[in-house]
Amino acid sequence: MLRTLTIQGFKSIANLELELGRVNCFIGANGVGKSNVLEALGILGAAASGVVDDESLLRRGVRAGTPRLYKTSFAGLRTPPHISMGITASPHAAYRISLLNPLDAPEPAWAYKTETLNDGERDIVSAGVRSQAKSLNPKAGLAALKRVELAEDNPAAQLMQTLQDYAIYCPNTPALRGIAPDPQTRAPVGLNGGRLAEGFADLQRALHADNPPGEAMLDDILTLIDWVDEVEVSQHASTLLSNQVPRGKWMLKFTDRFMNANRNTLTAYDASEGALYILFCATLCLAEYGPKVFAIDNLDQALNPRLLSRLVSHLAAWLEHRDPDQQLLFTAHNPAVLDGLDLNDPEVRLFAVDRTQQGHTSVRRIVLSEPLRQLLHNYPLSRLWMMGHLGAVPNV
Amino acid sequence: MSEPLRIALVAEGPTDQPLIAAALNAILPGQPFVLTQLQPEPTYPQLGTGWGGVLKWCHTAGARHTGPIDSDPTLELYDLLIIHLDLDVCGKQYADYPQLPDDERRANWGALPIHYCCPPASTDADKLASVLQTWLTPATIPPIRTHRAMPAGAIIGNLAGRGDPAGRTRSAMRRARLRVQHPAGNMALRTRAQGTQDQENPAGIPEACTRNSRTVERHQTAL
Repeated sequence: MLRTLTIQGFKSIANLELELGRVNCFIGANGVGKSNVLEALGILGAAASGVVDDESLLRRGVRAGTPRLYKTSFAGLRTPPHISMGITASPHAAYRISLLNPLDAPEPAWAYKTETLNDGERDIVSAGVRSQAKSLNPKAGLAALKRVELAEDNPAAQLMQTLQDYAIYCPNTPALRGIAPDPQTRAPVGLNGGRLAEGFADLQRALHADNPPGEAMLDDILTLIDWVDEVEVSQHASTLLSNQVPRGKWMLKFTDRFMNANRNTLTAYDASEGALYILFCATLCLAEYGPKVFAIDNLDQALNPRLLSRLVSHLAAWLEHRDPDQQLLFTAHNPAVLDGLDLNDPEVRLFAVDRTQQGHTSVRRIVLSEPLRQLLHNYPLSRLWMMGHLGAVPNV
Repeated sequence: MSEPLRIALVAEGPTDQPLIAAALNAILPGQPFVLTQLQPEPTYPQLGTGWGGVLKWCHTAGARHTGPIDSDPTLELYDLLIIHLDLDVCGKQYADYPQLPDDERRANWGALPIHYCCPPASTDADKLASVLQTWLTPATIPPIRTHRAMPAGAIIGNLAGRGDPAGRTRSAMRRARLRVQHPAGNMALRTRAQGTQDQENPAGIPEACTRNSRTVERHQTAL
C-alpha cells in the first residue's frame, strides 16, 4: 500500500508530505491544488514507466504541461531547478525522483536528475542518473529497466507496478453513455468512463462467480440505483435507440421497476447520469483487473447528495473486497461526501487542502478528537465544512 | 517543513478578510498561515454581515459550547480565532438590527450604545470587548489564544486613512467616498488588491496607523 507521498516544487506545492490510507478524500476550494496532489503521483507513475513526457502523462490522466507550468513560481521566490516526488510503500519499498527540464528551452521529455528505488533491504537504483556513465540516456528511467531483474514478489517490483498502473479518472457523461470516444481507453474502464458496458459486464460475471460475498456486493450496487430492477449488458438494443445515436458493440440496459413490463428497458443513452456514475465507481473499485491505486477527480459529479453519501460509505469495503492493498484518492466539492466517510476507520482519511497567504498548497489530514466525534450527532462533517470549521473553503 | 498556522476569522464582512490577512502577514513575518473566514457564511438564510452577523455568530457559538471558546471541539482544527468588530459598533443599538436572535440569553447582552471616550481608542475597545463577551455567554473568551480584533473606526477607514491616522471624520469621509466610487461588487476585488499590496509592504501596516498598535500587541500575545 502506498503510504508517504512527498512533493517538492511542483505547481502550487512548494513542499508537502502526506500519509495515505485506503480511501483518501481531498476537499478544498477551487484552485487550491487538490488535483496537483493527484498529478504528482501520476508523474511518479510516468517516471516509474521509464519516460516522463506528454504522452506518458496524458496516459495517466495528468494534464500535460511545460516546465513553466510544472515548476513552482511563487512571487519573490526562486524557481527551483527541478521538481521532486517520492513515495514509500508498505511493505518497505521506496521510489523517489527529481526531474529536470529547462524553463526557456523545454524538452519533450523530462530528464532524471536523481532516481532511487529501494526494496527495504537494498538500493536497486541509487544516486543520480547523471553520475552514471555518460552513455546513459538521462531521459530514460533506470528503475523501469531494473524492474525486469526483480522477482514479482519483491516489494520494489510491486511498488513499480502499482505506480505504473496508477491513473487519474475524470468521468464525463458522454463517454459513460457511450456516445463519445474516450481518449484514454483501458481496462476496466477508460479515464473518462469509456467501455463502461464491457467493464461492468466483466464485474457482474466475477461477482456472480464469487457467491455469496460477490452477490452481496452486486446487490449493494443495484440498491444505490433505486429506480432499477436489473442492469444487464447486451448487444441487442436496436429498438431502444434511434439510428442517429452512436453506439458501441456492447450496451448497458436498465430495467425500470416502475414501468410496464414490455416497455421498461432503456440504455445508457437514456438512463440517469447518476446510475452511470455509480456503475463507473463500482467497476473501478471492484473489477479484478483494475488498477491497485487510482484517483477520481471530482467523484461527486451528477450525484444527489444522499446518494453520494451512500456511495462513499461503500468505497472502503469495495476496495478491500478486491484487494486489501487497493487504494483510492479522490477530490470532491459536495459536502455530502463527508457524511459517507467513516473516519473511525483509520484507513479512511480526509484531507483539507488550502493555500497559505503565500499561495503555497497546504494539505492537512483531519483527525477528529473524541469530543468532536461526540458532537458529530448534532454537527455532521458536511455542516462543519460549510461552517468553515474544517477549513478547505474559499474566502468568498 | 513548517506547518502553517490555521486561523479562523469571524468578521463583519467579506471585504475585511483580505485586510486582516495583510495585517496578519505584517504581524507574523515569515510565518505561513491559512486564514479561513467562518463568518459571514455565504448561505441563505445566513447569519448576515455587519456587526449583527458577528453577534449572531457569537450567540450561536455560545449555544453550541459552554466554557472557554478555544475548547469548543468544533474549532479544534484551528490554532487561533479572530473575532473582528469595528469600534464604531460602540455607537450602535440593538434596535438597529431587527434580525437579531430573540431568546432568554438576549437579556444578558451588554448595553449598546456605549458612551464614546475615544481617544484613547483602547478604553472603548475594552468596553466593547466586554459586550462581545456577553454575546458569547455561556462560552467565554480565555485570556490568551483568542483575540478580539477591534480596529478603531471601520477597518476600511483605517486603510483609507493611512498616513493620516488622526481623524475619525476624515477616515469616515474617505470611506464614504470609496464606497461611492466602488460599487459593492468591486469592493472585494479592491480590498484583495489592497491586501496584496500590504503583503508586499508588511512593515507599512503597523506603522500606518498608530491605533493598530494595540491590535498588533494582542495578536502577538495570543500567538
